[in-house]
Amino acid sequence: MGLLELTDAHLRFRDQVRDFAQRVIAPQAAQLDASGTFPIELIRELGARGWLGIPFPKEYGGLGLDCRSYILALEEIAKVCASTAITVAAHCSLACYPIFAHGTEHQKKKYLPPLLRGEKLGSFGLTEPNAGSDAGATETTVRVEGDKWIIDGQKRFITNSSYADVVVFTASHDRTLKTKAISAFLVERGTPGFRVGRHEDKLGLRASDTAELWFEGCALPHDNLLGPEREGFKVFMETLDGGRISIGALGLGIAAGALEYTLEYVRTHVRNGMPMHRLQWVQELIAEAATEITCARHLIYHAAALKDRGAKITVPSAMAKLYASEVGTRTCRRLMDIIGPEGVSVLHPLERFLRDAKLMEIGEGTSQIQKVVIAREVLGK
Amino acid sequence: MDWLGLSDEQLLVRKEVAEFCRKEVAPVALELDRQGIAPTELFTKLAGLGAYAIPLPEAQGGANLGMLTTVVALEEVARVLPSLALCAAVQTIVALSVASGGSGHLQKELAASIGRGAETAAMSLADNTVTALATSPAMVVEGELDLISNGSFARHLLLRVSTAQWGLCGFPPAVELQAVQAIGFRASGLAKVRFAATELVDWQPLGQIDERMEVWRSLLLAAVAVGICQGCLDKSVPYARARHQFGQPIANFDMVRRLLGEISWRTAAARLVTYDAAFQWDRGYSAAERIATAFACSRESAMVCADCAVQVFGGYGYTKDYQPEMFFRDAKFLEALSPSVSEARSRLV
Repeated sequence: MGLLELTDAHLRFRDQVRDFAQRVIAPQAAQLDASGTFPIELIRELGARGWLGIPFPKEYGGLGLDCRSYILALEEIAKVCASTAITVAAHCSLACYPIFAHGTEHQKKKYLPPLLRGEKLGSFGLTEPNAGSDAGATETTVRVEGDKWIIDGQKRFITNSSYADVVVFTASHDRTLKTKAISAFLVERGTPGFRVGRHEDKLGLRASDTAELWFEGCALPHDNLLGPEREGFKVFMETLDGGRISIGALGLGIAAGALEYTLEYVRTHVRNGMPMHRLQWVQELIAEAATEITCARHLIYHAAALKDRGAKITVPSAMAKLYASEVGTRTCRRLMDIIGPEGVSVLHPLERFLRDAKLMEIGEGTSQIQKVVIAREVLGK
Repeated sequence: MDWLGLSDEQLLVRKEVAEFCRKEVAPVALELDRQGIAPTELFTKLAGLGAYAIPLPEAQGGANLGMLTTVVALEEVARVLPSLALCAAVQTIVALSVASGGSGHLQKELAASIGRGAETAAMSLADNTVTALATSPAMVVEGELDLISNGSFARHLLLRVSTAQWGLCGFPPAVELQAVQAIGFRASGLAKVRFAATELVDWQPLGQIDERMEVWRSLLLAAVAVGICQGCLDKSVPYARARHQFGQPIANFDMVRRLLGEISWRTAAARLVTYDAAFQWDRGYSAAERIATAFACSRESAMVCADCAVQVFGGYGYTKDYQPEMFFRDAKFLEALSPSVSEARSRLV
């Protein structure tokens, strides 16, 4: 095991993704953001390379690599286009993972191969208008009618929803029982009673797809239950443990991308007759950003390595996400000050990076929720 | 006198502007920002309230109420729609420049017209300087002016030529005028122009006003920043009280209260330091350091407040359905203006 718990194979894989990201994704990123276009072609191309199934076994159509490889790929993609990265992250960590970890053999064989080979896209419907941080307050209901589950309710802020072929989502058998009566289900696009609602107009990640899901008397076969009945809360808590490493990796990637851009800028620009890299206030910001990015990278890679070892990662992933997401926002914000007025224009990538980075402090549990999770475990309560 | 030491007159101005903003601006603010439409109608109505003539001398039809009153008025606009406040700030700065730097009857008239809003004016928020190629018989310049606020609708442009002289020219000049998309102030009519050996029409020299320009710009942009802080507070507190999670208002949770507290005390601090700077300037004291402090402190506060406000709103805060998203982008725009907050921090003392 080399530096940062990475092997040479990890680094070779990272370089492969980096090359693709820099060569193919980077040139499109600004335009995708400006036009708010979901990069469907790009996602297909990633799928064709097997990069929508990196950390899953080959027998289900995955690439057969580990969580660290997956995280490295996300970091490299986020360095140039966080919208693309979050699309991949939501697909892998939030849709494919719970099917892989909690699905029956039949479900895995049915759903995973097309998802992991990138022929289909997955999504995860947890958040609702009145159930955000308090995901246990799910208002979407499920009742049994004959041999069917009947679903009614609404989900909001769902990544990939308009393009998803398969959605993992939660519903409650009895809202008074909160977390004890939630089950996870699978629904396929086109199922009667299931539709995609309003598209969100967002601060950032504007080339990623975020929309509402509506269930109106949606009837699902009994087989569409994912995991044990009434244990959906556990399914998604464990799913989020993994998902949070990927959100942290996006924060890390955005920060690293912003730093790379700024380094090039200060090396080639002069302010008031002085090369910018020689200005001490600039050096201070660069040094702080580089240090924080390194810390974030250690936390993220460590959490990924623990996941690869099968350890419980609730705290390491929450810490990594908390820190790396804040580093993402802080780094972009401060580095924009180095570029100055010129950098507020959409022609410079840092303003997009900042807008994108802010989501990482909110999605898959706000920073406040990460602190609740960490404090609970640290205090042993 | 209220606790901030504002006069009855200042309180009256604040009340009038606040009422206008509540009734006329608030209902359309998010839509104007989302679509990037310059608020020309509101801009004209604001002129009707005398908003751009507040600090102008009476001889130019002004109210002669000084910078503090101007700051108080702009703050009220910014807490509802920062883009409109920026347009107002720029119009006021140009009116002051013409009133202060201009000479002769024509220019006094022009200052009054701009103050009244009968004439509209623009200026760059980045570098205002272009290079003079010839000064006589006509002013011929080259260079590029970026981030021109009011650029999409104004008829005059304030700029500085390399001979260290400020002046006003007809606008848009016979050159390419391009709309600019920036992180913030999407409803301020941001534009840029490129001059390539361009002869300026209606050139009106205003002389050397660098120092006063720095004061006006810093104070009025600081006012916009204070308004953003207050806007964040206005929106976050009721939201936190109304939004229930875990069976109670999120305002009950310490970590949310910490965010609200941060917004609250940063707003108070930014306001006090900005009012103090404007007050000192109005009294004729040397206030350069205070003004620079106000400019840096208020802009950083606006960014922190907006960041906290987005966080309070959670997923909703990340959408354009609520104000924090707009405040976040506008605040970052201000923070990056020259000197950026990070740079200013090491230049204050």
